Amino acid sequence: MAWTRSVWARVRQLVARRATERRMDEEMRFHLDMETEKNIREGMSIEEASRQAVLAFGGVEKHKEGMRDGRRIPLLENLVQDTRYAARSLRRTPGFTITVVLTLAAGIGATTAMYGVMSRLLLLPPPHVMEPERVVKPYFTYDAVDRDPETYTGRDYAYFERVRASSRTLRSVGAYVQMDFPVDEGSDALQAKVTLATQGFWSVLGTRPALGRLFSDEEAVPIGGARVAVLGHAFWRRHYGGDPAVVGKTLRVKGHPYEIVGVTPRGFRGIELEETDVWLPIGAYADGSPDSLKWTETRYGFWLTDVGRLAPGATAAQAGAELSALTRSIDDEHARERKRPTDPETGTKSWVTAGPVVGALGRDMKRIPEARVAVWLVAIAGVLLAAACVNVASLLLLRAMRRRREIAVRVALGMGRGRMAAQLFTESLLLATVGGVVALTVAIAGTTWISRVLLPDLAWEPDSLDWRMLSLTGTCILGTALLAGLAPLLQTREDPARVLREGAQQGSPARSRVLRGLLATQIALSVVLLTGAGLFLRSLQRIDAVDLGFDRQHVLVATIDFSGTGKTRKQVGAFWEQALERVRAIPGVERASLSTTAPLRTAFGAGIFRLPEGTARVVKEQGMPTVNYVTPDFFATAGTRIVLGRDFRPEERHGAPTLVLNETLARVGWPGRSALGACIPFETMKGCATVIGVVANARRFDLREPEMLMYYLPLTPDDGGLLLVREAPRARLGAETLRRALAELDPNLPYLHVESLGTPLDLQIRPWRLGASVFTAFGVLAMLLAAVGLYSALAYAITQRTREIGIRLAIGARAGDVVRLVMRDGLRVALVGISVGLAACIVAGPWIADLLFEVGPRDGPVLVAVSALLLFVTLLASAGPIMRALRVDPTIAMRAE
Amino acid sequence: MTPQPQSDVLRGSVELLVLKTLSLAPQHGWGIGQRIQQISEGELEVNQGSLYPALQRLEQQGLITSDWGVSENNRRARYYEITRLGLAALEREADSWRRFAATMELVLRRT
Repeated sequence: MAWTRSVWARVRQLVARRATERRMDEEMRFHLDMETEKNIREGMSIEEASRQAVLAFGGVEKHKEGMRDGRRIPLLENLVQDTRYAARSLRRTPGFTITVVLTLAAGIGATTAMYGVMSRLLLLPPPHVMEPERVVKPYFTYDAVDRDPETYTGRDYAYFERVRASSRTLRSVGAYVQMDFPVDEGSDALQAKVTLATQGFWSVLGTRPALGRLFSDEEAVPIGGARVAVLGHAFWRRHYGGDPAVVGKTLRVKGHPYEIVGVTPRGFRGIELEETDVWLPIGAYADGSPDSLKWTETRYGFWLTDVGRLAPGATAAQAGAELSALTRSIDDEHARERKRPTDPETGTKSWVTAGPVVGALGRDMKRIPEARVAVWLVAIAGVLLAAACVNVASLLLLRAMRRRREIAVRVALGMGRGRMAAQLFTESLLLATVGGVVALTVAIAGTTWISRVLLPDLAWEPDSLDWRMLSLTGTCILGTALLAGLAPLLQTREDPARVLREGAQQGSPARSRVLRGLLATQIALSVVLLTGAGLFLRSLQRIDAVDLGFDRQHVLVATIDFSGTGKTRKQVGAFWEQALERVRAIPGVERASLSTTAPLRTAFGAGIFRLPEGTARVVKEQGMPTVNYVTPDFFATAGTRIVLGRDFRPEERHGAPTLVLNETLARVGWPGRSALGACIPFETMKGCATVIGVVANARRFDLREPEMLMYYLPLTPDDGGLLLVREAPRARLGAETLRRALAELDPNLPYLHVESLGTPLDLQIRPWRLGASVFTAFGVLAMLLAAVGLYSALAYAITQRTREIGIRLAIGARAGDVVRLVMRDGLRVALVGISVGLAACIVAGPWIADLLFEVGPRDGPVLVAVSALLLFVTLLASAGPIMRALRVDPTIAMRAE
Repeated sequence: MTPQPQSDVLRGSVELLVLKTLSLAPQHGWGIGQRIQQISEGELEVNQGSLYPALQRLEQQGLITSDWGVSENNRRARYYEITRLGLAALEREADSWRRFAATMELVLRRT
């Protein structure tokens, strides 16, 4: 290797500098002597000969310097020289440089930011969990004969106790459930995200507290445990200002005093992604409920998530097998107790999977919908990165074309191809490095944006830039530099003589297949991204257009958890009646009503309810009806349309046997005839209740759910549970105003929760909103890149074809012909790109189908709109070059060369 | 007076000339300069300012080696000798030089 030798020479030289100096001196002296002798032979006097020899030789020191130069390591020297040269040549073309740097920054930055989110959601283990790969979470799958398999992530408390008592594959077992509880009191009161944890929970995770201690197994027994609380780190910082003296203080939870015993480490989130504000022992589940449910013994529930640590030597598969067998025997036991057919009898297959806790992705991909979207986000960020690379490559190729002659001359003048290639490569490397630095900034900003704006309620550690992200960025930069560096490298292999012979007319970008291919690829990629954006926007549009059966925007819901206050049902009911009167007097309130439940929140199963003959089968299929008790004006307040009949009257609140049905129940119960006036017998009532109205169906929980049977009964004054308030048109009432008005009624109220009726839907809609914003941002970016690429190529083509255009104009071409000439190039590329993009969308469409809401993946209007948009952008990109072409003066153009 | 050199040798070509000269026989620095002048019938004169750095560079690249020897007038002198690598380089460089000359010729004839 040449460079090892030169490095060795350099080292040797450093060691033996004096020897070298001596050698140089001696060599110079010898040279001068020889020169002098020669001069003497030619007839000069000795002095003259020596003088002439020195004169001819020049300064001895200068030569020695030159010799030392010759001994420097060429590699390092070249690198410095190349970098300087590259920097100079990039500075000379600021437009090109800025475009490339921004392109790289956008592509790399977006990908890295997306990767950060992705790795957070899918790849990184939950922090502060000891040996997270040994921790498993069971998933319960039931595959019934006539239904799609269903997977649950939790069971009930009794199940947890069984596993805890009998499992051999799990060294320790714990369980937890996430809930929203009102905590603290007075003006500090708020709705906190709490996690209730059982015995064993902390030892499974092996977490150490940041402050104080975690609660013990004895404190976490379901009944008779201790009222202790561990604060989440973020909540401790937010609510207590990070006060270390917080341990020992009291925190009110649902009105009960809990002693704060510790604080979790920063970033700890259990094995879930959402942040927990307060960790409580499982005993807090029913703390203070007067009608103490036997929740520890009830079965058939799916509310408590189990988590276990594998015993030494045991595998997740063994744990799954053990839990499957245990679960099947428990299920069979229950079925026999209830005298129902067991799963083996009905042909239902069931099994338990001991899934990993790393990442958001459950076995069923259902654990968190954002996780699926995140995979897509990374994929589309990858598409954007590809578009950015293609754009950079085409810009560099274009630049190489412009410099074709320059390169040919330099090669001809003796510059080695290797050196030339190294120089070109240095240039793209320099570009990529600058782009990479800018990209890192973009990545940091992007990650912050995604975590703050798009996924605000997940627990984000402050330092979301990790080494994986950095190495990814690095790989992107080097890869891009290599890719983009390839194009000009090809140039140096050309025979310089041929290039020089060809003259300036050659190298027209219109004739470069590679460049045209690159430009078309960019357009195709933009089509793909913009189609994605279009499909998500259409989904959002469809979601907005969904008739939920209530008004999700202009209605506020106020709820209060009275469970810790010791108020009787009558007192609570009286409070709500008073609240209703008070609220109706607030300016800006159009209507208000009380009810036991509201759409998207809880739903209560109805009591015994007998329908007309012949409809029992249908009811069985549709499930049991749910009931809501409401005051008059509830339907108008919630925005639920009355289809038939009338609303309740105030006097009917005191026990008049009337009821209102939803459309589905009316249709199922009275097919083909009106249900109005029908009298329905209730076992809890004497006689029967008369149907006085039919209202539109309102969604119970989900944006997408099958039609449900539901009916409404008048609310008796003792049963108020929540308050609905409709804002007057254009009155911005706001949750805070309502909260204050209600708080004035009773200074000792526990936490009062006010939110918009549609709030629970926001979380459901978020995946689409996320998809739409990111696809749109990326699509527009890709489109801009494509436009810039196309513009540069067309503009360069015009400068190359000035002479041709001049000739054409001289022999009688009109402006229209010139426009067509330029346009043809752009349009041809655009059409190819759009066709390829559309084809890709049609092929790839089905993969995205189930992410969309009531929009087909090959939605015609979207595809047409995207194509039209890109054609329009092509025209815009051609406009500049066309103007330039039209300004060509034939006489000047033809004289030019 | 020394005759004015007719043509200043292009910087990049000094190495080529040195290699060519050394391919005939090992020689010391001064001798190389003389030899070039002689072969080119006085048309080319190699400036010492470029000759010695060129020798250093070539030695660095392993194309020539040097050692002390005794000159024709019995003086200690640094003798340079071409290596196998140098011979290959000479062939390559000479070829590219010929192509360049032809190209220049072509360009000059056409314009």
